[in-house]
Amino acid sequence: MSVFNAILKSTKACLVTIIVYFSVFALFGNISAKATATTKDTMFEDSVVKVAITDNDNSALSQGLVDYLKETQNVVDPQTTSLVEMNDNVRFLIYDYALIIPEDFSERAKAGETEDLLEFVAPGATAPQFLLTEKIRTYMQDVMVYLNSGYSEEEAIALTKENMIKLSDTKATVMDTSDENHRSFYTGMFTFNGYTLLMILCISISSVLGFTKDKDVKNRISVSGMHFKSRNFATIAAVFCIGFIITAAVVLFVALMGMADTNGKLFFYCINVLALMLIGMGMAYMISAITTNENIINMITNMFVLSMSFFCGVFIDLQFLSPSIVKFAHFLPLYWYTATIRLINDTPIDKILGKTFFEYLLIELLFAGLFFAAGLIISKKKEQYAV
Amino acid sequence: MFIRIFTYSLKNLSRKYWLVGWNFIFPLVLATAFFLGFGNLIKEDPDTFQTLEVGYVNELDESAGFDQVLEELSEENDEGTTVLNLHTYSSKDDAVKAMNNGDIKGFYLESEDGVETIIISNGYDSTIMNEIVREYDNYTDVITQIAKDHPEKVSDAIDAITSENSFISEYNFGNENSQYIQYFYALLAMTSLFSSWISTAILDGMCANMSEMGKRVECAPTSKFMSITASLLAGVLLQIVSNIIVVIYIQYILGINLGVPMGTMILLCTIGSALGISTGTLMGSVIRNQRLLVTVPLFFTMICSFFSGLMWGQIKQIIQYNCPIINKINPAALLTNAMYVRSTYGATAEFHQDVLIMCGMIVGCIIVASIFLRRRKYVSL
Repeated sequence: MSVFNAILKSTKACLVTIIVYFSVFALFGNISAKATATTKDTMFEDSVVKVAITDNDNSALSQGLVDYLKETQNVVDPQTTSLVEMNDNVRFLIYDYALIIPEDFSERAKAGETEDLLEFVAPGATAPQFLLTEKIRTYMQDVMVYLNSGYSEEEAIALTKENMIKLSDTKATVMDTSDENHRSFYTGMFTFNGYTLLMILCISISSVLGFTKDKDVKNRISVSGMHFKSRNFATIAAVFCIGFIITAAVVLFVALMGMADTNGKLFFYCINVLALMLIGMGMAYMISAITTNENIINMITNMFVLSMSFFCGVFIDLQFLSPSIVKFAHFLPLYWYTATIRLINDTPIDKILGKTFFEYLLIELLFAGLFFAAGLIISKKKEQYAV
Repeated sequence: MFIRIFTYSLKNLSRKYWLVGWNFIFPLVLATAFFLGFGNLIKEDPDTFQTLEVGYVNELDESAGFDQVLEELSEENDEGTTVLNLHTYSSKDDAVKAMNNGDIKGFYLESEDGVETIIISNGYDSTIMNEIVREYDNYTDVITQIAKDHPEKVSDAIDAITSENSFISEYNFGNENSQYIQYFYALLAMTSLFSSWISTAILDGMCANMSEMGKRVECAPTSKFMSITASLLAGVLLQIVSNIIVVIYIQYILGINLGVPMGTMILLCTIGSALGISTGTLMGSVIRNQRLLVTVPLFFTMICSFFSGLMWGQIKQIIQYNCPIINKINPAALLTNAMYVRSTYGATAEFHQDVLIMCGMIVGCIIVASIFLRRRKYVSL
């Protein structure tokens, strides 16, 4: 029991690391899961563009355009009059589109000019840019046609607005028949958890195991009367206890955060997280066999886990990665963790417990075993050559 | 003596393997991970408008003209964009099957009731598809209205409505770097700030209350100012080499154009390295705890890097509008911004302001650190 208690107490030294990574998970996991969660569409909804308008003309014509955009799009404050700052804002997605109405807009439009009446700033040729440019072009086309056909300015604006409102009733029909492509909140949270849980487990457990390998501590344990078997059993139990407490805290947090979005699949995600916990503990054992220096433990964990997170679909969706990277990712444990999450997400609840699910879990367990075996071999070789 | 201390410091630092790992290997690994993750996105932006794969089913004997609209949109326009790639199906069931297989985003069904847009899910692509039908209906409505009020103007109106008027043009800044390049700038800023570890490691070996080596250095008959300066310059040199290796690796091996001229990049890396070393010196002069000397520089670097956009590209711009002072005191944000401004707009006043603030920070940190480091007395060792 004393070894068990000592190991649990020494985890206190890693408390700051655990809190930092848990906070990262709680904050960014939540943000990313909420941002990427999608539900099955049953009704058509127009996608709106976040547009910032700078009206330097302030005429009836420009006001008509602004009113139309306010009714159909998400109009926001440009926050600046500088074109450079507007460009920064669209590049960093503060808004999607910046529309600038020049001072002579109304004058030139009434004179029958049709070229470059308005200016916009957008982050390249994106879908929102194409959509809004087309909408503005259609609006302007209508106004100009009415003006040139003998209507007054007020009439042209009113008729165009009336047309646009009438057209907003033209809606597409949604035929969403499959369960796939809808990402639940749990999927988002547990995917991000692949990075944070592995970081927490690897750093805390390898640091704790590193403490027990300190020369003085090792010598004191060696001369104690405790049996080798019970000493090792206590060490393993303590490591499992740390891993289980951290994993349980993560699962509890996700369960609490996802209460409004529950889909009955939490149990399957939990099984997958337990497999990840074993991978994390295996990796931690291997790292602790390589080094006991806390700096190097931090460095190796960061390099390995961060890189894996990029390749295996934790930070970037697999569809954006090149096929060769995805093929390479098959040799990494985190890939199978995220593959299991995708399987749970895309499969109806009564069909999850199938051959594929158990195959994926088995691969994860094999990886955990592989890391543990590698750790054992390294430790043995180090002992053999007295490194 | 200066050169001797400088050389020994270089040797001493380069033999600290954890330092070499964090400052030389970790940035290369992270750059590779970024490249494998964002490489595709930099070369081919996923937000770029792609030609829409759409289906068309005509249940009428002859189309009322909508097929012509679709054909026009399937041809490349003056701006070089092809809006639609049209697939024609003989029945609605075939089109639904193709849509569920992912061959098309949706399809148009033309029947006696008019044109119906059928989609699988909401999004920009679906809105654009629906917008095409709206525009088609809109032309009919406008012409009907004019025919009612001003019948003599109908032919002019038809000409005007079918002509290609641009009305709106894009403001061009000349340099269109991918927005994902930002992550590489933040990575270089993080690499520079990692040098704060170099200076805490240097000071660890120079303070009598921190290490055995520190005791020897403190009682050596050598000017402390000279030995600290020589050691810190060795650290700066080491970090400059590290930064240049990362820049060369990104630019020439990974093939990602950072958009900043090499000379300017080396200058910025030098300033960044000096900034990292000076902030590390300040931390090393204040902190007395061995464990904190590792964790404080790590968290300082990671927090500064986070707020400069290493993990979330938008954060710097959000701060810019809510609390701009943070961007002006965050060394990583200053360095990232200097690179971004130089690559996007050239050497503007903002670029020079960033460089000046960083130089000011270096001087400020060194002055404060030297106040803490001078004439130190130990009650007992």
